Amino acid sequence: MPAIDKGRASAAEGVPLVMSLFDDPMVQAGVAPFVVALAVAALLMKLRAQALPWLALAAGLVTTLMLSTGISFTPLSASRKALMLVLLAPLLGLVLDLAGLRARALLPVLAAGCGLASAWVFQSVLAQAEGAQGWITGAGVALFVAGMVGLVLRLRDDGVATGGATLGLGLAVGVCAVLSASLGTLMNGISLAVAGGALLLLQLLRGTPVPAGWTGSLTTGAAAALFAAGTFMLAEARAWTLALMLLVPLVAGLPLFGGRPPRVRLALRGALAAGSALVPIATAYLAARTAA
Amino acid sequence: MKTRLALAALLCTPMLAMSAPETYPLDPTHTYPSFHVEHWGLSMMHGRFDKTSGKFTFDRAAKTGSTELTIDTASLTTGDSVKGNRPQSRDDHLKSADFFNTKEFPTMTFKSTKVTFSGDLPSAVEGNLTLLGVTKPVSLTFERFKCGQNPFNKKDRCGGNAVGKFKRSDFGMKYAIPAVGDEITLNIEFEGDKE
Repeated sequence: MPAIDKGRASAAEGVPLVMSLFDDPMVQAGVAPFVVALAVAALLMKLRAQALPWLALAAGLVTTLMLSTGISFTPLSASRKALMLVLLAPLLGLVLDLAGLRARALLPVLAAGCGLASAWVFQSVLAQAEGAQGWITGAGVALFVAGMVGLVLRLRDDGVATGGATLGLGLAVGVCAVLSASLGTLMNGISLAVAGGALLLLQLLRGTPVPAGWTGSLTTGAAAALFAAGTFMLAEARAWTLALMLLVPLVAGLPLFGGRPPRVRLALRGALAAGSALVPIATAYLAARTAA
Repeated sequence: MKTRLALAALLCTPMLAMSAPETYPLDPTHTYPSFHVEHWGLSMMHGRFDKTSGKFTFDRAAKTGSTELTIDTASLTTGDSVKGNRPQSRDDHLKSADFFNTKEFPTMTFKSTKVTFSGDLPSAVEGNLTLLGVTKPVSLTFERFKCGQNPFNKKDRCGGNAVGKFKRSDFGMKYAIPAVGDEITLNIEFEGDKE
């Protein structure tokens, strides 16, 4: 009886189930990264340095991580290796942008580099596979990562396409993650999506696109590819769901709505790119329903 | 003279037997590590690992011993394994990279470094727990440790319960703290027939 009385007293005193506003996953992965990405992008747009505002993607992700699990790289598990590369991607992109490197030859090099890096990321899981299975899976994942990064890097001169792809890929990765039982990756995916949405919104308000450069496109490409690969390697996502995610950057790059006013064109292209994420999301949902 | 020697040998035999180390492979159907953790500051939720292998060895006379356990992390169950209309079950989520990361770390292990005795039976064990690739010292206290005879095969059999606590964040398992508590209470029920 005393225990019950104590419980009632606590409820009456309003003991919170969530310790504070910042412990709410909706705030950690949604509101906070959106606000931070919006503020960082708006601030960096004033510097008129191309691609710099796209650091907002990393700022949004860092916000989510700081509010949820914190950032640590020990033990260096596959998911932490992926996170390390995702956080290094904007720095590498920024160096390339600030150095003024615009050579098209960089695209396949960066894409292949990310593909190879995925083997390092998932090495501990691949090593447990029997026979040639590890090599086959590793090669498949590396191809997917290289393909995704390459397709997103192609969008680097088109800020709206990159923003739409970031929004769509973040949503696809997030939903795919939750359906395959990883809420941490869900939060990272949604964080990426809302930060992409913030950049899309700012471009819409300005009426002019802000090219993502290597900074934005490498961040989105690496994050989407490695987080998505994580839902396959570390959780229960299906390979073909990942393959369908490649549709998002493909659709985002389509030169559509040319005859429309600039703001309408921006809105339609962004919405279409984000909407294309419904294809992998629907397949992930159907796969999860079948498994249930 | 021969009679005296034979008598002395006869008297020494039980002493030699008593000082010999006894090894007990763990009986997988009576060895289950379980844990409990605070949920939302309200209840203590329980989980259990269904597959464990290992052995324990102790020497009653020398008061020394050792133990090693290998726990199959994917055998975790909390009573919620069917997701139904939800995106995932609690078991699925606990096996994911957010918690036990079973695809990357399919086992967790405990290897003793020191066994303390009370009388002629172990009372506590200090050792190293390896979880998520991180190895940290963890102490377990035997709430009970009893020995008797297996009624079916007539072999000597020992068993008991070992309890200890650790912080999951020390092993890099930081997801959902504090909603899901940081402190884990580990309770290992075990039995084994003498080898």
